[in-house]
Amino acid sequence: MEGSQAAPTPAEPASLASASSPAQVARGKLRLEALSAFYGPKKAIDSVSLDFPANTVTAIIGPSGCGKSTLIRCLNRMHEVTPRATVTGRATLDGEDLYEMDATAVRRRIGMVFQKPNPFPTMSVYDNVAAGLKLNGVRNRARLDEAVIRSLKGAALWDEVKENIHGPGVRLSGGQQQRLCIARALAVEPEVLLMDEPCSALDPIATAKIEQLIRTLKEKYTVIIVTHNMQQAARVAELTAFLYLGKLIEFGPTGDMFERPKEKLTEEYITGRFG
Amino acid sequence: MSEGMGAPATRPIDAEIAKLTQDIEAMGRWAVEMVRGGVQAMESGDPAIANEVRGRDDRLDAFDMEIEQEAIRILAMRQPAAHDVRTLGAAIKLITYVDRIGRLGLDIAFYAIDDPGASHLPPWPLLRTMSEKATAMVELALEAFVHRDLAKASRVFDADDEVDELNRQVLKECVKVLDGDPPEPRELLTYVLVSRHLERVADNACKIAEKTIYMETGKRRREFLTPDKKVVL
Repeated sequence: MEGSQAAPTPAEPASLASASSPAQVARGKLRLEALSAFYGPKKAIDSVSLDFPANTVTAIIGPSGCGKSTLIRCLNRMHEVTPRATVTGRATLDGEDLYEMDATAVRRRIGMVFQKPNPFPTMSVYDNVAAGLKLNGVRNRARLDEAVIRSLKGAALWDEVKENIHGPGVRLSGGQQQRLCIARALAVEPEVLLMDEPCSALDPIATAKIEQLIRTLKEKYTVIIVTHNMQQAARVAELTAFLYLGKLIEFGPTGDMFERPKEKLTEEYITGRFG
Repeated sequence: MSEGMGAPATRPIDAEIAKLTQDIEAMGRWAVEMVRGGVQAMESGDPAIANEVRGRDDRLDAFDMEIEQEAIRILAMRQPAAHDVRTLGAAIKLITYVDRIGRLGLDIAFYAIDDPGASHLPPWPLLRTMSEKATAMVELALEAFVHRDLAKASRVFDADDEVDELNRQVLKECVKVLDGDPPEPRELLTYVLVSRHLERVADNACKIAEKTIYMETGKRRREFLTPDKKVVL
């Protein structure tokens, strides 16, 4: 773990132990224990403890600047790329400390999709998807073909691009480009997929396709989605975490959170009472 | 931090829910008058009162449709959560209970038309008391809903036991009179039906109180009502 500060005593992560279904009570695939993140001296995430269960979609909601994106950037070690950014506490994937692993290996196991679709501009659809594998040294054409087709199918894009797979990725529509980015992330066979506001630049139809895709993806992957859109959290996520000023305020089944939140702050945020 | 906890935001949904609450209160008063009118029509034997209750039915229907439509519109337009969505869910259920209360009053008015002047037999004063208690329960439940008052909502359940007891007394009294082979057995059967209707009015008042508690706390009936119908919050 990087950072100069002494790691605080790990807190018991917010888990589903208090959730309604006993089947849901499981140790997280990804577990945060008293995780704090800093930009220089400024604390952006304040001792968050949280379990993200496997094969579940977890939404992270909260007002702008509350630390949502910073939190997920800590999960695939993108936070440390920012100058003077540090992390304390513990983050584990299947019990392995993410900050004791090789950062590249972490990013292969924990993929990320960003707010705006960002296909590599000079590459074809095929090369966009194959890029990660090629970076990891895969050169076998048959293996690349298999991975590209599997990933495009997994991202629900194959049927729309199969006739022009060697055409430029940037010629696709915004929604297709975002699914291309999802396919690119899937190609390296991650275990966890982080999505940072993946639909904020998309129209309602493209958004609906991505949301449908997210519901499908959880069968194979653990999905964590940051969203400003609370209806989107309600539509796609089984679990929701509410962050405010870098602190985890509430975490639990999405239905409970939106019907009867436990915390007054959560109630005020989801009902639009923040001034 | 670009946003935070400042002054409470002005939300269009607040005014819409306030208006909806007023409309439900008005519908509730309308339905209570139908029950009171039905019982008065039986007591007085005055067909004009019974017909006035019958004349209230169309407006009761209109309240039901208008409030439901508005609640659905708010759900669709505002996509509410937490207390807001519980209020709208409760509102949609409440108007069904209120509609049933009005219709029970309407049925009693029809009995008054079928059996004019049927209030002279011994069990009648019990029915009058039942009517007073059941309609007071509905009013208390509506007040609890309008003012989001959990204490008042809890008291509705206490009053229900009294109405249940009166219902048992009416049945016992009617059986006693029927055992004496009275000349008016049909009227006594009407008493039994009216008693049952008033007991149902009280039950619907409890349902209104139950939804009020859900609206305010998010708790379902099984989470706050003990088997002996005591509210534990």
